[in-house]
Amino acid sequence: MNEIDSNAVLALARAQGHDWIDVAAAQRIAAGAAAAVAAVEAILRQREAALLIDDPASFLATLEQLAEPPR
Amino acid sequence: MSLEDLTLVEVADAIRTRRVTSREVVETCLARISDWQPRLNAFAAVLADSARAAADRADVELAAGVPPGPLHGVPLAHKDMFFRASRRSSLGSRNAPPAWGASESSLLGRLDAAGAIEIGTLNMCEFALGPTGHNAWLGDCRNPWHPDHIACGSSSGGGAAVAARLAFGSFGSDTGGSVRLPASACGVLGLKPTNGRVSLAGMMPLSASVDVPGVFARSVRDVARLLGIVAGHDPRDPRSSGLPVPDYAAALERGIAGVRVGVPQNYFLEGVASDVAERLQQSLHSLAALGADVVPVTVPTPEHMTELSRVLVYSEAAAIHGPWLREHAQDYSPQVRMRAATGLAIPAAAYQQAQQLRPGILRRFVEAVFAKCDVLHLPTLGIPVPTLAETDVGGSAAMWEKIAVLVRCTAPFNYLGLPALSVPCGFTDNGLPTSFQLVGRPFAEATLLRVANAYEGVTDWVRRAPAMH
Repeated sequence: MNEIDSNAVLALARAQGHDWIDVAAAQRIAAGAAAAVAAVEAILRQREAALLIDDPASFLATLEQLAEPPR
Repeated sequence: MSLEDLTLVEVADAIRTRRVTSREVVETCLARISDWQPRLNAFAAVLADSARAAADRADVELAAGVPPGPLHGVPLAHKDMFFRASRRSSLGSRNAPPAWGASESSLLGRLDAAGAIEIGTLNMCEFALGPTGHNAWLGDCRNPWHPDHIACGSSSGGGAAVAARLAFGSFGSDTGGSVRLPASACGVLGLKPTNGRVSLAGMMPLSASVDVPGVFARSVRDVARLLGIVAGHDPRDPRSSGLPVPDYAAALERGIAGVRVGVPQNYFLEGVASDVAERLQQSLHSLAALGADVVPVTVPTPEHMTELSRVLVYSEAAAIHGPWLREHAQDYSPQVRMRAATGLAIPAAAYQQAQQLRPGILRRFVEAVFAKCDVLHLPTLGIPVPTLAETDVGGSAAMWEKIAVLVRCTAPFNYLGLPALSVPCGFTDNGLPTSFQLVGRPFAEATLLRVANAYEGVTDWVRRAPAMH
């Protein structure tokens, strides 16, 4: 489980030179990042880990394979 | 019918057959822009002189017998993020990185070759990050049906300009609903094509994995023509598909008898306002009366797809903006700089997982949903169009919740890469437009347009024009 809180965001911001990120900004950023990452973890908890061996570069090819047949 | 009320296809035919000159059409649009721009702020820049010169050239060429292209002499305007080497795009920003914009937009090149005239560049949310149409630097874009309400975003100017008859069509970008939402809010058609159907080359990236250029227009036939011109493989964009481009206009007249229209039984209709739900139901009755079979469909895991999309968008946006943002944070508005920085806090492994999951989730979605129906029918925006004041949350703690409400029904299809078309279906109790959204299999734009065209044939929503109060 990822723990993305404002302290972690502040530490990352300092490490990457984003000195403009204060406590209030870090709280907003943490809320957005935590919700996004939680969705990935929720999907993986639904026994979707098998999908992780897919090659992301195959996304366009998958779209093309699933395309509506010509009429 | 007055000139401005003609559709794109109608005005192109009128120019081609010399019933009207391109110069007359351009002057009509410029006069309307002069009247409406103070109210709407839909344009970032009006290119009056170059548009007039291009119109005069178009008229001379036609008189000389030069074969016209499918958009010969027709004025269009696009979101200010399609690059031309000859100018600097604002990108809706106060201060964009100077190195951006060196490459020419392939999309604009195809429109130029078809004979289109660019009458201006359109207002947009800062760096295409925002679903409301607020802009701290260019000023907020307002809704042509009521200036106290948002035009939605991020392609805010596209919805407003096409609805107010300031241009005959427009292209924007759609990364979470940024074409479909303003189309719905302003009462015009908005198409997000399948990812890979239209080239991204020369368009400002927000998130290249998820971005797709999209179309605004006032008739289904107009959408078909504009899409047909820009669709297809582009050697400059390795993400563009080599699949053949169908004749979208030819597919429109086949009717929809027996077409299966799927209505989601989970997620998408939860929390929909009663007046929006009523218009959606009326549109289903119309489609059924045209011969469609309306069928219930359960949609797999939609609740996670918006957030999965955010993992991709915010990670890629942080990668793109990171160096500039580090040095120029003061040049970003508070909400946009926080959203652009959100990816700094998303682990690389989570980003890679969201990418790896994408083909499998897409496959499972298509197999589960499109075995039961040909198109999905759902809201574009499940609430009546809110006011500028209601959505002016800046960088406050309320921003994530406000954004989530607006993109709830659109962003899942950006993660899936599926084509989606927003179709006006009436007005809510506050007098603002509302729409339904059609979603199809990959590269099924022709089917979406066919269903929308049948619906357009028995309704007049897109023919209605906002009045200036």
